[in-house]
Amino acid sequence: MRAWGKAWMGLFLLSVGASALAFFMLMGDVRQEDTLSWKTPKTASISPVAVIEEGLAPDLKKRELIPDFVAEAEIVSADTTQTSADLIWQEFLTQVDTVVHQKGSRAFHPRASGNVISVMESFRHSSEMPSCLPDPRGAVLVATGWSLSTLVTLTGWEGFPGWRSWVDELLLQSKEKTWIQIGALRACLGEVGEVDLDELYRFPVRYQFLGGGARACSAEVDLELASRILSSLSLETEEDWTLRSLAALCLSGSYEEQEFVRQALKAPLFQVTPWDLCAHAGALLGMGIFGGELAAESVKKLLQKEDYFGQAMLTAWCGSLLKKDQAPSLAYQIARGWSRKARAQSTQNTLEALRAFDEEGRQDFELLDLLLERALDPEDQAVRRPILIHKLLMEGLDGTTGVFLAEELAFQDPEHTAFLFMAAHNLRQRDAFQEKALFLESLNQLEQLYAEVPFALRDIRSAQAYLARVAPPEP
Amino acid sequence: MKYVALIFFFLAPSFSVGANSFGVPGRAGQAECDTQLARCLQSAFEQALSNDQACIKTWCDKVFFLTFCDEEGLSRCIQKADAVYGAALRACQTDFSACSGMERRNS
Repeated sequence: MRAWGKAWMGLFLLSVGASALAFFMLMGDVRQEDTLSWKTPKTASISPVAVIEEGLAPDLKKRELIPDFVAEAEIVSADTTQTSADLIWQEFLTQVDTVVHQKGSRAFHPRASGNVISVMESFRHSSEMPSCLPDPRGAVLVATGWSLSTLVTLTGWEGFPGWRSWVDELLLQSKEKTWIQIGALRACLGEVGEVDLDELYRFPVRYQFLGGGARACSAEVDLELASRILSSLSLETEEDWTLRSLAALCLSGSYEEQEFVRQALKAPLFQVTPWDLCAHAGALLGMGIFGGELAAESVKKLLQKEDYFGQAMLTAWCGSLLKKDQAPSLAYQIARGWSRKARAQSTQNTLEALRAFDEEGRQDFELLDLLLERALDPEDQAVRRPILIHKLLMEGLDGTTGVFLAEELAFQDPEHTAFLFMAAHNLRQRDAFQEKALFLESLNQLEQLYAEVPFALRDIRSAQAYLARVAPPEP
Repeated sequence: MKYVALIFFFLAPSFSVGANSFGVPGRAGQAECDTQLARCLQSAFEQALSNDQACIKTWCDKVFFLTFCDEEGLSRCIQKADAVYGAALRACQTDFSACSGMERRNS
């Protein structure tokens, strides 16, 4: 009995000792943390570099253990313990949202001041640029639409390690998959390359995402993603159009080498009803730069089509494929040599160039493209804009180019909104349904832009009313 | 001579802008209004061309194959010509609206 009593006493003393030891160890930890917090702020205790090298932030590892059914509640509480990097990313997303809200689709236009590209640039070059990716679950809670897409592109361009798996995680977490895919494709195309994406704004397409340079997609995973996007039929929303344009551009770099790429681009290139404007433009832009013999054959087939809408863009972008050995026309060479200050000769020069274009069967799109380019440059006085617009629209030299020029000039200067009515008249004459939809969209944007300019507003509304009143019924 | 041409230039646009090629205002056939609109725009364009020529005659001198211009004067004149052309286009819009009985949307 006494032996049992001794044993119990021994056990009791042992447990008291262990408790005391645990108590002192705990106190020691607390004191050490107190000391650290005096030395450095808490946010600095996690090194971003260490986070990148480790692949996942420590708090992310903890969060992965949370069961799905409580994930949402935990994410809300996690917001209160965000890192300073997450807060800076949120600030960036807010900036993008603000620009998109204020400018609409114009927020991506290369000639619009304070566009998304300039927001990205100033953020990237600021000292605040975080050095780690944002928490994917936090990002999908805050970011939507274009801001989510822009975040994906920006982080891709910055080359964060683990970016692809981060994008996959975003795709799993978010319902806005199209926006994430747009961002991912734009990131894969790179920010510098042979393709000038601003070119896409020069023709009536619904491309809306960031200009700058791009290169061919090379990774198998990107080509497969682009091919999947093109095979889906969705063309319902603005973002669908943009995504298809990027996907076609991405694929076009491998047009010569890959049979599955040629198959994927067959419908966007040749299917007529309705024309897939965005994918078509994206494919042509890429084929003109990266294409070879097979691309040249396809381009020639397109030119044989009746009432082909894209002759101007095809000649502008794929001219090198069509006539490798031919020199540009004499009219083109002369127009190229005009001085930018040739104001006194501008009337005569423009008339002569357009006469040459007309006499050559209205096929010298290289010349037309040059005239368009010079007319859109506000510093270039060599082309007389009113003459160019009138001849294109009223004399039917090239209605598509004329409508586009009228829109662009109106965006540049409210004084030019007077041309919009002429463009509406041309669209009415041609029954161009797709172009009409795009034109009406531009009118809506112009209406917002010039809300405080009464005479411009009158012009815009006259054009809207004209199309609404006399436009033929939609098919 | 330059000043005479300049005075002519500033007077000429007022004739073109004021001219109404649509005849009696009111509702007419849509096709007829379209035709008249095209005619009005063509007339405005021809006037714009002659205004351009007037500017060049006023502010530039041609010596053999070379043209010397007062760039500042020419620039102002061309700007004015553009404004006149814009006004002419707007007059065509107004006349077309009257012709077809098209109502403008209120702001």
